[in-house]
Amino acid sequence: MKQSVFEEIRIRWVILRANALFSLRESLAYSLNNWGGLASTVVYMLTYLVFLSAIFGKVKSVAGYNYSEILLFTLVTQFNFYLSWIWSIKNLDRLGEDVKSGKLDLILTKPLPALWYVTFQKVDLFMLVFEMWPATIPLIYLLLKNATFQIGFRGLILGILSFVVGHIAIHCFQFLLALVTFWTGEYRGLNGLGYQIAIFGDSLPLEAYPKALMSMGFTAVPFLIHSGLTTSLLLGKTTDIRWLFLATGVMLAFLFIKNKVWSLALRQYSSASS
Amino acid sequence: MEKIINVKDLTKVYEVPIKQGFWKSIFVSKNKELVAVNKVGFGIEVGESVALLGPNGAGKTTTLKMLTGLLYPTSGDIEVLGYTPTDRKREFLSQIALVMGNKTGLSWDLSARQSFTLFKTIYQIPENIFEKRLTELTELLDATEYLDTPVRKLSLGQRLKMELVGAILHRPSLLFLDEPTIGLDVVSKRKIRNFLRYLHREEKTTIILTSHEMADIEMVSDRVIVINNGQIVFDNSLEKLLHNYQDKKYLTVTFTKPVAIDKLSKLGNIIDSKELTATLEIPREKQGKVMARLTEKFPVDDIDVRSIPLDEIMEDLFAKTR
Repeated sequence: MKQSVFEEIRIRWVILRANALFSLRESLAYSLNNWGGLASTVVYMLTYLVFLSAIFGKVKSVAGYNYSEILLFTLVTQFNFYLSWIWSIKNLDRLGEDVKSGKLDLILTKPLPALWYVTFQKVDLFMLVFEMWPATIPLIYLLLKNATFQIGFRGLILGILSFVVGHIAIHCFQFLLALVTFWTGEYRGLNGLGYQIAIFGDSLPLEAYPKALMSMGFTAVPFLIHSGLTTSLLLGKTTDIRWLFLATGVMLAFLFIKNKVWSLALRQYSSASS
Repeated sequence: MEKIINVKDLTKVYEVPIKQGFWKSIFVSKNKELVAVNKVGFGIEVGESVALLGPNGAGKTTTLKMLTGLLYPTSGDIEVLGYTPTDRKREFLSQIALVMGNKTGLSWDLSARQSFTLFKTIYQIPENIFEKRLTELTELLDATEYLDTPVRKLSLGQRLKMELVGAILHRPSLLFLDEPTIGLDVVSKRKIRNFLRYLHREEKTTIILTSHEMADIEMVSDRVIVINNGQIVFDNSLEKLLHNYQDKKYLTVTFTKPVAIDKLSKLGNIIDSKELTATLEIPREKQGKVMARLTEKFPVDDIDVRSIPLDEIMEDLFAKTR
């Protein structure tokens, strides 16, 4: 009963769709939580935009980025933030909780590619539609109003690739931290650390980091790819494509390590009884 | 008969951290080995209904989890449906189901029907078959009316019925149950036991069950594997186990007026007595004689004859093999 690759992809796609619908229904079960979440992200966005306009009222540029370029960088970091919450962070928390409580048993005994399933168990469409877009509208408005740059076709393609590659790489890094729970039964602190490391790269543009940090941020702890390199490529500040090759290599290495450590983690799983 | 499960020299050793001081535990943590399952071996045939019994910590749940591929054995061989469980092949997982009385596989915030829709996708059950099966199972369990209620609003018994329905929607050939009636009321327990019996008899599902409820075992299982201290101490039919303990009988006698207990004690060992009732433990071969003496010498209203309860058999077996 060996399935073809296409059949395997089809099954995964169908389950992914079902999971997304399932997650949407779960989100809709708590409407007040949803409105609260939307309000808090809108308030954060407005506060940050006020902060940016205050800073750029005093200085012309930060790390070589003017106001409109910083707005673009902020938009990329916001997309990363939401994308992380839409599929990565919530799944890592759920994995930690499921390992701790032994609920992972009920996933591991289903005919599913378990690693893939725990990675995409929750796909929060509600956040994508009702939080991400409304909260970023003020930012997009300001960006369109103040844009002083142009994005070329090459920059756009390289930027999108870097965004995807960086997002996967940092997710794998966070996933590896979350896997420690199989050995220790604890996950909250490490998941929090993974999250903080990921957004560390969202605080300043790529060019602001010292060389040593940049080396680390492109390899062992890949926090500079998803936002830093992406914006730099979009704006044409980085033109050397080798950075993207390096990022892709790092992503592939992390995917490989994620698979290997997952297998080790399953061997370590103690399946808490109650 | 074809063997569905083959287990040989199965051993599971856990590493348990030894309690030390804070700094020691960080830098030089020490573990001790805890043997949960020790060189266990058994085979289970297609269509059998087997109970794994044992006191808490005996190793029965660990054995069950190794059979489902959740835990990796330290040593030994397991073959279930022709597969090594820890390989987690889709073909293997499509044929088994696991129900745990203390864990829920259903989404807390959604209705059971919504969770079942996801299971339908996972198990690739065609829509028409899914609907038919869902109707059939919920009717059997009297659970149709709360199919659309959010799981968090269901009682424990209702939720467990839904867990069962969800687990067997895909018609598994092998069903693992870990304490399926834990915490349930009498009515729910009976309903679930009857349902499991139905699955075993009508759908020919092979059932492996762990439970502390002897009534679960009596109603659902034909064969009993008793595990104590990680080793099998009994593996045979339930009848054989009961037969081994049939040298005693219990007579619960109801009198029409109070009787002298010292006179009654001459007929057997009194294990319980109240104003108008008494329970006597007697050797099986003396049953007829004692009953005749009772009706002859005492104002007897009724006599109830019982064999030794399964609970007591287990207690005795655990004590002997401690």
